[in-house]
Amino acid sequence: MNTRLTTFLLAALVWSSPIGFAQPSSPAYSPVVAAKYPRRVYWGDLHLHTQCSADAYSLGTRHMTPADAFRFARGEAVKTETGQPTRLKRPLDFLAVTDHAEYLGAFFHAGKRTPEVMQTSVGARWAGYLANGEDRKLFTEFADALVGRGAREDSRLPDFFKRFVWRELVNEAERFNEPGRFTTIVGYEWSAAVDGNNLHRVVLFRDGPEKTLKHIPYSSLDSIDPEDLWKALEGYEKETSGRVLAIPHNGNGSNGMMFADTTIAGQPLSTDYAARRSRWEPIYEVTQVKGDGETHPYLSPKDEFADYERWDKTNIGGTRKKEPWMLEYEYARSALARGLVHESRLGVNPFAFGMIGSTDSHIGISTTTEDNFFGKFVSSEPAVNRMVTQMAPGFPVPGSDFAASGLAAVWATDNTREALFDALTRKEVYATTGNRITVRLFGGWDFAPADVKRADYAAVGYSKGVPMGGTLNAAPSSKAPVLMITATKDPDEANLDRIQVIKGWLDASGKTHEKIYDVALSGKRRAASKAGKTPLVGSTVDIANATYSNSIGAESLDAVWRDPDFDPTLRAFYYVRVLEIPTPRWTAYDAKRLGATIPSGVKSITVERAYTSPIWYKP
Amino acid sequence: MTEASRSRDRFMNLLREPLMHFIIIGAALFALFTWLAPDGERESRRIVITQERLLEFMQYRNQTFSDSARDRLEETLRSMTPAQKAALVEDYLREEVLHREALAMGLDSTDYVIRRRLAQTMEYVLRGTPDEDMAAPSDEELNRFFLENVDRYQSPARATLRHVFFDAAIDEREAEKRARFTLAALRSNALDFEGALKISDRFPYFHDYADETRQLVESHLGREVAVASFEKPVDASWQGPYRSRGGFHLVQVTRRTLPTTPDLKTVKDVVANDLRNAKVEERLERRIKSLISEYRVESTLQ
Repeated sequence: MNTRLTTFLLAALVWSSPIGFAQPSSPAYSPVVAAKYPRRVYWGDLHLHTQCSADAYSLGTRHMTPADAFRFARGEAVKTETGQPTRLKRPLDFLAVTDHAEYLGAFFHAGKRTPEVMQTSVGARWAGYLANGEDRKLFTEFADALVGRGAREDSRLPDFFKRFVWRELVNEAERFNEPGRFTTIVGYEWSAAVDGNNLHRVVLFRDGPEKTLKHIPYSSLDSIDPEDLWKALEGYEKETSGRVLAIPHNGNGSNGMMFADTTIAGQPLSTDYAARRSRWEPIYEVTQVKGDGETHPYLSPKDEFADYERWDKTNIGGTRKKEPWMLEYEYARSALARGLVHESRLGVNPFAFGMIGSTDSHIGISTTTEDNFFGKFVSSEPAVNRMVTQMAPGFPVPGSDFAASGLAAVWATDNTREALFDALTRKEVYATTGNRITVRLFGGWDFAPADVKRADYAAVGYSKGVPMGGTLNAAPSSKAPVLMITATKDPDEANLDRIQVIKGWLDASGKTHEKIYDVALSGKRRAASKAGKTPLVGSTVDIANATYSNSIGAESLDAVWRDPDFDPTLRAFYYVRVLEIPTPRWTAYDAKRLGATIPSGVKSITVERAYTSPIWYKP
Repeated sequence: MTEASRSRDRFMNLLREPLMHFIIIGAALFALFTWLAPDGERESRRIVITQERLLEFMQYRNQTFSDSARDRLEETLRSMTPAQKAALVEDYLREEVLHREALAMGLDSTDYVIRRRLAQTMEYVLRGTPDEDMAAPSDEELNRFFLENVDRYQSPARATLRHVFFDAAIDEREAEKRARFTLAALRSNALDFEGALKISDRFPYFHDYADETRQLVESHLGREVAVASFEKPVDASWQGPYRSRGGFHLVQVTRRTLPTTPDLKTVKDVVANDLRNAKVEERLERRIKSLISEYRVESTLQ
């Protein structure tokens, strides 16, 4: 075939293609700058603590600075608090250092006897504790602050000190921010608990220092009611024209309060509450070191993969046992369904959230892969006894419960603070339990099976539908939602087992339902029809040697799936779960490398996964 | 050189002597054993409870050894109720007896964790602090260290590229043929990138890579594309086809930045810190080597 003919044929193909593009032009200097939609996913951690967090410091994180955290995240080798050299296999694209607002930086500065803190009475008291080795008293004062008990007058820090610390933290973040290469996001954690029930929120800013420095981190000493936090955030936006949002986490430690039917004040949720909650909290951190929050076997008895990194004994304070009724108000899947219930009554869905993962590590080290897991506190850094060491004084959770999880995946047009924040706002983000599984999801009415095979399927996805986080409205007659999904393994980690669609809906009688569809399977397996179970992918895990092999599973899977059970009159949501083949859990690596004994009942095999933000259907 | 600094140097040299290490370590061990079992108590199965000993016990429990902490603990001890004091004595006795029995059974040498722990503690003692025996580095010294370890402070090369992909899973020859046709069309401007996407296959990762490291490019696109992106001239022309595990790639590299080396001035604090740590580690290795040299090591290895 000669060149002219080829050219003609190819040009003809382009001409006949269903989607129009701009005329050929000289290539842009940087093609991504001109991107109309996200071309790649960025990986990061939006929840990490350093020595500036009061609990981290009083439990032994004495040296790990925000600078160490940024250096580690961008790929440098760093020595941990216990002196262990460590490094990520691949750098992260972004990091938010989010230390606790309660006594932010204060214990660290008391330890250093910084003049700014020594001139406050409370700082001098803490410095005394530290000099006397009474670190536990420090930790107790912090724990008191979380439940609002630290509000006694002599435990309050003056604003000048809060500003002093905040300026240091903001400056450190700015110093490491390299737009396009490594983005730092300024933030902190509001760490309120009501009667020991976790209501923590990570607060993240879109803005630079000219705006963020006008803010003083809002803490549980100011209020333990999230509605007051939202007021403070609203105040920030009004004053600076900046942008800020809050991301709740660990519903599993809230004993039914995270997604409750009532406000903290005990009122039923109102339309106004729903609007404010969805405005300030578009994202939920669904998986992290203190357990996974997608769903629970009690809530999803038919879900074979629901029993995953469970933390369901007590609330976060350990003050009250978990009761089964609480679970529905703690986990993401049931909360998304509760959101439909509220929406049908209020007109606004308070729980229309997208999902991310992050670590919540307290040692400045963001590690999420099972074979490179450095724990939560200093006491859970790699050591032969870390599986049986309890989390903290008064928190009798064994170290073996920690999950090497998770990561935030963000489909953004560029790796900048603004682009990442905007992706969070439109929920074009997803969670993984620590591995970099690439997942893309579009919902529409007209995707054809061949669309997903196209190199420009994303362009098709955006032009004929909505990406994850979007909403499909009022179904055209005789049409059902079609999801177009692609998933690719982490280049460094295990193959994929399957893609699943998780559907939740609200029936005409006001009852919520869920159903799981296996929509793409590795190998030659067929999805089960009706009652049966889809055959398992198998396992190549050798626990004793902490190894697995990619001889099973697939590198990449895709699907175009039409909802076979669609009722256009009922509210619904769809999100995608991607499962890896079974691999050794971090406990197996500890047994192999450190000679540690895995206590009975502790898992040594895991199934890593990704959860996308949902696509909603509104009649 | 002043008299004072000369005598300090002499003292430093003395500290480096292996004999001196023995004296220091010996003193440390003597102190430890004196605390564990004074007056030959270990043999006699006699335990004497003294104020002093309870205080030390409290210090170890609280992991605090400063004078002010000691005063405070002394105060605590004095103000204890008889019941509290009895409980403290009970705790002390329990630990002391179990510890002595464990030593008597030789558990300290058979338990690998304890063995390692002691070795680590010794290492800690030998490592010392950065300030001890170490002058602040001169600018010249800093500069030399910076140049010797310059790769540590460099940021890596980065490339901006895009590619189209032809999946070889079904028919490798067909995929290569399609790649070559498309290359010709791209080079003759009959087709642009978006157009080429329409007639190529979906790539499992991405089609655009902006300002990426070689490590990432290679993990997604394979070695051939990484070489093309990082080792060949950058002229924005379409190149290929390059083979990866999955198929064939046509690549257009539009930009590449060389590894950048920061000015020493901007990273001086970091370099100084690294140099201090490196010196401490060097000194540790010297000290351990010299200790090893004091032993007669015999080997029965073949």
